[in-house]
Amino acid sequence: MFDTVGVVLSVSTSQLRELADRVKPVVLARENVLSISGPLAAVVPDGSLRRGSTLTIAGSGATSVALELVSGASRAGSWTALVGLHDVAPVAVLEAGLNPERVAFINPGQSARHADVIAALVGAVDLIMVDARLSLRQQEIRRLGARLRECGSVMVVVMPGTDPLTLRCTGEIGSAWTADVALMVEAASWQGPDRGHGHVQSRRISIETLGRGRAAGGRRHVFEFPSGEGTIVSGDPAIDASDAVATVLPFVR
Amino acid sequence: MSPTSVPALISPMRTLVVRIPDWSVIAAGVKATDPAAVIGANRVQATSPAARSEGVEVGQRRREAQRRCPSLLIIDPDPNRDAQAFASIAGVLDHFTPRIELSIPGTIAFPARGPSRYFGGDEMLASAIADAIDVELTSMGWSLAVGVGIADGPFAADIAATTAMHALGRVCVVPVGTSVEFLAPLPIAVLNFPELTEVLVRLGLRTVGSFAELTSDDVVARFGREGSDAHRLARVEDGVVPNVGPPPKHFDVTVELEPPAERVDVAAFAARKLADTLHDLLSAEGLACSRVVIAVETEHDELLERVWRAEGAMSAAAVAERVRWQLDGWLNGSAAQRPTSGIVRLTLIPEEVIAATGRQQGFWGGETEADERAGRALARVQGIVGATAVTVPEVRGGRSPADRVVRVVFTGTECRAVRHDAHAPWPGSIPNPVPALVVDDGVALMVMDAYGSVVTVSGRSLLSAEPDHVMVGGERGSRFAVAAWAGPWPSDERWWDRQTHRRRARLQLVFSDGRAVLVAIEQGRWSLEAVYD
Repeated sequence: MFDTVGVVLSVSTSQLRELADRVKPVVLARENVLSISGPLAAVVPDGSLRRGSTLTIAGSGATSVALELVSGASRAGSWTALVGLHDVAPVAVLEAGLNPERVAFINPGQSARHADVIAALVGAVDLIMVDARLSLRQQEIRRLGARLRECGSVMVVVMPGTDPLTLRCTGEIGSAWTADVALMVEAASWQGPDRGHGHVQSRRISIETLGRGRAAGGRRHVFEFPSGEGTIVSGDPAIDASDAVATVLPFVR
Repeated sequence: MSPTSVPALISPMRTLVVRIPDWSVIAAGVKATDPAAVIGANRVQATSPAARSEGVEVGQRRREAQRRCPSLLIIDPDPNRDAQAFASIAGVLDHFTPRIELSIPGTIAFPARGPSRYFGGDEMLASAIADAIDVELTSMGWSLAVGVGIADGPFAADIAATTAMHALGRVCVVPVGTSVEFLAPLPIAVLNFPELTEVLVRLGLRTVGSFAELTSDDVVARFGREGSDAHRLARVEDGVVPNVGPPPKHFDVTVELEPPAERVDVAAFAARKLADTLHDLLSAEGLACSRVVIAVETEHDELLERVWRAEGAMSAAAVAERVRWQLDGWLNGSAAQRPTSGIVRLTLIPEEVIAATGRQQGFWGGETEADERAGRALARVQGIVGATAVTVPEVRGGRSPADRVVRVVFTGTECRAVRHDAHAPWPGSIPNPVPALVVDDGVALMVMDAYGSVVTVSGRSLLSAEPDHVMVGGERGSRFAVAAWAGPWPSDERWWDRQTHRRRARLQLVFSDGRAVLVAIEQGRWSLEAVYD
């Protein structure tokens, strides 16, 4: 009566694998992750954001890198909150590919309750991007870290590369912020403008990964971010466009 | 089978509905003679008569509305403002009936049978109410802005009120038992089930009457619950939803406020928790609330009470929002209605419950459990740092990076509608990539040429000299050498309006350390607009 023989399920094996991963009874901590899409995944151990972990990102280009790292999980349905980071452009957030229906900007103001604000988000919002310039005490950060591990949110501490008020380069992230993975971004010059014509188009960045556990060791990756076509290309496009160029650096604590 | 021959189980309740369709414009304090529109999520939500006469209509896009009426005053939607101002209108009706029911600011409903006997008939009651509200609205500079309708059941009464409004008659009374015939010739779209009615029109059912003639079994079999709800409206059987009744007393929830709450945010924060408690209590019994009484008691033993109703089940967040609106109306309202002391007790009484069918998650995404969790967390954050501190992005379109996407205050995960149609070309906009950091009120700086004088841009968009370095923080501030630059991109915005007219030119600068920034010159003054981080 019903001819089902000819029906072919249009589901790829990768989709099935993803579903199987989601329904299997035991999940290892290493597998309980938020995925990162695109070539930037190479800079983080296992290519994904482990739930409960803290990332710090600093250096020139840190804001774009941070937005790019969380965009994959946002598209997959995770909520993202930006705490502080008042100068991050909403248009850049959307252009990075975050789901505009699941993004919230929080301006914690001058109140001394920054830690309370972040604590309220832990567990309910998957991705919490925190301004490294917020004043939190070491004890509060430690307590937040414990809550993160318990509830499975990911905290991304961002230090935008330039202070818009003085135009100076910002420094490193304060030592109070302890991170599982610490990314240091170094950007080479923006390409595109010449003396009067062209426009800002592309730049080369290199991201150095430091941190604890699987992130220990120290690695450096080079990307064309953004490339002239608005995409991200890993490695040196002149040599090999498909493969990330990774060099192992000695990790000095 | 004609629809009238089907005996209704119980005759639907005679209902009076007062409708002020332009309410959100009125609440914003605009005169009827000014062209104004409330625009949210890029769509026109309400208009003033002056704007309507210029061709601005509800549902239009922002740009279309501005094209038709360039002098249009655009108002951001604010349910709090609407609800707070509406308390004065609701107060007028307290002279007519002890109990009124609010669904959204701008619409009031109450059972008409008792009051209409007292006032000598439906017509007398309706015109007395229309007069009273007209007086109140005229004092705000509006006339002929209200419609009053009486019919069997709230839905037909609502349509009658709208009809009254359009016919400029202010009052429309549908005689008892004729509401089905009243609705029958109307287009099916008035049922306000957009997806369903689109299908029905394609099936040839163009009027409410033709849909009402179907048997309910057929409608349920084919269109499920949504179809059955719409069918019930078409047959004027609303208000007699089965299993409706006052729930047992123990569902009332109360919170004592110590110290007494004088401010809205204090009381609203308690209300939010109370709404959650109520929601949990009801859902444990498999029920959901569709009509809730909000009652407060003050230090001076004043009792204030108001009923809020929604189509279908209210979520905890929806109840909390209604409570906040109402508290806002009471505590910030006119002196005559404001309680004389702080609130000591807040009670929520679910007056009408329906079986909780569970909210169906949207077929293509939509609301999920994670959204609800995130919504609650964000609401808690609002409780800590204030409501305006939590914002969400809304795509608008524009030339400068700061204009293209703006932040609007977060009001809940349910009413999010972000439009992605702002990608139309904007002449004069800066090509991608977009800068990651923007500065809201441009930091002043100076773009200098090699000889130390400030670079200017001529009326023909030509630079006076090549930029050489940038000074931030005055003459003795920091100096950044410019390695390359692009532009200028001139932009002449809103030249038709003298007040908001802005003439600017933008320049991309790459410093010698490789960083790129976007600077703008306006009236000879340079400022930083954005940083490519």
